[in-house]
Amino acid sequence: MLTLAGCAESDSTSKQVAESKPSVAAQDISVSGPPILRRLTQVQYANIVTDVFGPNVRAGGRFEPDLRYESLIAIGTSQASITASGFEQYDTAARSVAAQVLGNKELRNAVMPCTPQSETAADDKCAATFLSDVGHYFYRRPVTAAELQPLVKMASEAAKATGDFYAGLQTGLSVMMVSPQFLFRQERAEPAPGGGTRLDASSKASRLSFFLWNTTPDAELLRAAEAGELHTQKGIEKQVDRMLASPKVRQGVRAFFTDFLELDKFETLSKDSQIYPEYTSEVAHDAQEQTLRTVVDLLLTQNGDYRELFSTRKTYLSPVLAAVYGVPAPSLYNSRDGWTPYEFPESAGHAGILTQISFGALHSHPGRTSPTLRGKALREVLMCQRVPAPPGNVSFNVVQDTTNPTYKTVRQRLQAHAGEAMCIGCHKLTDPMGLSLEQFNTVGGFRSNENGAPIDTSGELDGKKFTDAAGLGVVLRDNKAITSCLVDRYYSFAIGRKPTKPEAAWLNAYLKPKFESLGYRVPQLLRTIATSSAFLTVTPSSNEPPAAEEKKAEGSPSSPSVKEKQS
Amino acid sequence: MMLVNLKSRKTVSRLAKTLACTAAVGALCAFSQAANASETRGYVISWWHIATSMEGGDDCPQGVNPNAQQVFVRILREQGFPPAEIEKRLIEHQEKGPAGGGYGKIMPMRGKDKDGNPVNVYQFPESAKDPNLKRSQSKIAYGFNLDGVNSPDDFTDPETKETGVDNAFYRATGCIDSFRATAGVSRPNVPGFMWEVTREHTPAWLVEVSGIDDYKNDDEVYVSFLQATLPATKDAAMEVRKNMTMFVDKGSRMNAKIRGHIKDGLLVTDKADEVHLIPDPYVMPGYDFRDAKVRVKFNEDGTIRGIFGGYLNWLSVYWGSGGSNGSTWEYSQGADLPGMYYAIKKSADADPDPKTGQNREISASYWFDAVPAFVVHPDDNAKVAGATK
Repeated sequence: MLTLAGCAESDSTSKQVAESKPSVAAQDISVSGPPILRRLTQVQYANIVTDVFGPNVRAGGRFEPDLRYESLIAIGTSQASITASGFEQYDTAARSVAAQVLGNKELRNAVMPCTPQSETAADDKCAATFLSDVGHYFYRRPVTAAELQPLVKMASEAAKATGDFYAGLQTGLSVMMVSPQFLFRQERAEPAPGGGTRLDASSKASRLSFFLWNTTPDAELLRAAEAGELHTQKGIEKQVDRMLASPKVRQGVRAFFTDFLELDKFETLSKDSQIYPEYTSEVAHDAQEQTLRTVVDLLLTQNGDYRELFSTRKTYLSPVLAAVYGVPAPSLYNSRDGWTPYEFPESAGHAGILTQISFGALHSHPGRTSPTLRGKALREVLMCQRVPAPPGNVSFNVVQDTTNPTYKTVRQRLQAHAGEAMCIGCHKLTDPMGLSLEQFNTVGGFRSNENGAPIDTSGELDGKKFTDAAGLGVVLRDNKAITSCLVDRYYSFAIGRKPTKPEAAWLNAYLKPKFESLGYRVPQLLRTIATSSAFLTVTPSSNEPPAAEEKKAEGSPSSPSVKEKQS
Repeated sequence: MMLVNLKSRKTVSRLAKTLACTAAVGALCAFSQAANASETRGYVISWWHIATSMEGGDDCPQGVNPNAQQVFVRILREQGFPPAEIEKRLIEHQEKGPAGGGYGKIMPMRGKDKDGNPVNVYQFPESAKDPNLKRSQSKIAYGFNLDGVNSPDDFTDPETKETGVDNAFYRATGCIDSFRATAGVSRPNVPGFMWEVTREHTPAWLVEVSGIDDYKNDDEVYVSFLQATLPATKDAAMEVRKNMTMFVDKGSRMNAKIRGHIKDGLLVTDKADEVHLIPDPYVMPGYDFRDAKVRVKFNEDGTIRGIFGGYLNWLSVYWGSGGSNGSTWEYSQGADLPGMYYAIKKSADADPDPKTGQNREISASYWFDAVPAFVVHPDDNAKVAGATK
């Protein structure tokens, strides 16, 4: 992440992400990083259960929160462990899943690969067959005999104790589902025939599947892995093309953009219901869904240019979202799922995901907007730049006083606040963009005035001026940091860690120009990453520091508490 | 899809203004300009309850009617229980609620048949003697002079100063504590609760005001009462959510359009022969109004507040006022149900039965509040009434 060093040096905002251009090729095997261990996210856990047992089995409960680290939960998964109490939650969930699957005769018949000799006695052979079959998907590789034997033994002992084969099998299944082999994605390296080190076939399958589908590999991918096909470029490309053609790729893209846009933060977002009664949990849910539907439609269904996300007026509406936006949605009448495609009229002011409820609400205070938070999010989340934290002794009194008769609009209040020498530098980085979004209130609804005063939506980003939010979208579209950031984040999401120096150099020299040459089409970006040597090659151990480590020294990272304090 | 059902050929440009008002300008938009073409506005009713009025201050000079506990004591006395036993049962009742002191058995079965056998008074209210509940003595009440006559029992409307106002339902129940409220300040407890139950389960009630050329003075506008396909949605304050898109159920009996006019900003309709409003049948058998009349005030925040008056079958009014809920209502809301039955029956003021002379209808007025909504007529080329904010 590029740190915008020194708030006083506001001109630094004009710098784009530095792109060194060493001569690296698409399949340069020197571009790699270490294999890692990653904890399953809650969504991945649920996706796997659905894939293996069908949509009627619910992976309920709440696990320990996913950890956001270096801007992504995907990276946090390699930093997260499981506490004792967290293990209890996994155990409860596993028992629940096992009971649903094996306690229901109809479902049981659908998933059992064998029939026990007796339903009232142990049957080690049938138990082993079931656990081996299921374990293949849960462990993302064949279950070894050493792993299978204790599970079968537990199932057998439980069956004898209860006089119920399926009760015994529930024990075996639930124990499998709390094993580290299931809960953690362990990547294994092996020597590559031509030199160097590569991921073993199962690890490659797992990387591909979680990157593109956010779930465990399917039978065909596991077969290809076990047949050695993932060690050939042709085999990889065949599988990647198959996976990209699958509807499951939507699930993968949704997972990335949920992480990238920090939509998970809606879980803890609250608004002042006295001021904004229109904001409810239903709105919070639908706001995320709207953005994700917009993303999937533009990037996958339309195979559109990623940059259009910041200017498109095409989106989707649910009944409550239409109400918050204050627009009629007559086409909802024929909707089967409660959603309808919608295109905001040009005069409505809504253009691009920054003008959607998800962005406006997520980056506001409970009872008032914050151009600073919105501008900061724009820089940090979408442009991969870091805005330094405010000094500890700064006073927010003027900014927070929304009833001040002298400063009726937040622009006026921020101008008064930023007049303080220690504030002006940082606010120049954030406010000119954030102020252009001021026509969207704290919950994302439209407003034309604040305290009776008309809202001025003019703004500026890195020297380019615009008059409103739609203008901001146009300027963003042409800002290289937007596309560069997406490539950085998507690659980090794919590998679960910060890129190493060689990887970062490869991103800058190869992948980002490639993304441009592909017309900023995301499916093609995914294909390029998934079929690259960088994605599938590893170093057995690396002393190579992450590429961005040196740049972190230029500014203090913003802690969540600091973010909260920022106006 | 056509968006607004308008009289004028300026529909499209006006619609643009309407929607611009909705999205961008806000509450005062509709009032800051004289309409230069007909507008249609949509609303969903958020509150509906009896137009009770304590404002006069002289409505119940002898106090309000006895509550449930006081009625219980009266019944025990009437049934010949000695004072000590009454005291004992009352204490037990206070400690254990409806299960204590024999309340749960004595109160429902306090009626008598012709042979003196116990009868359930909730099923057969006339099996109990009329306790002659106190009626409101107020001279003011909200509503309309429906019969064109100034009668002694009629009121003067505090807002319009119209005399001869027929609101006999308020006359009958105005001194029952749980029916009392001050307009604009509080809501009557029981009717408010009943409305909350209704709006929770019943497809929403929609109001469409059409043909508006001038919000101050317009000699021809129309007020429609329609039913939506789904119940209203609530916001975080548990009030009806504004600006929802609501679809009209064209198959509903609730489909009335009443001509009216606006004078000095107040919309008043002519009388409509029949208007049917469809409530939750568990709460109220039905609002089948005769000679219905409505007035509407456009508020600056985009909402409307109105009065709906007309004649209803008095027995329906009784059942909808708690009669259908029996002992639950009588205990929790505190009133003598057979007493209310007699009060409403005696106050019925229209449509005399040719044989018995008993009036079969009672005049009643209801408050209603409504929030802006986009009202869509799905089978009419998706005509949409614009909402205001």
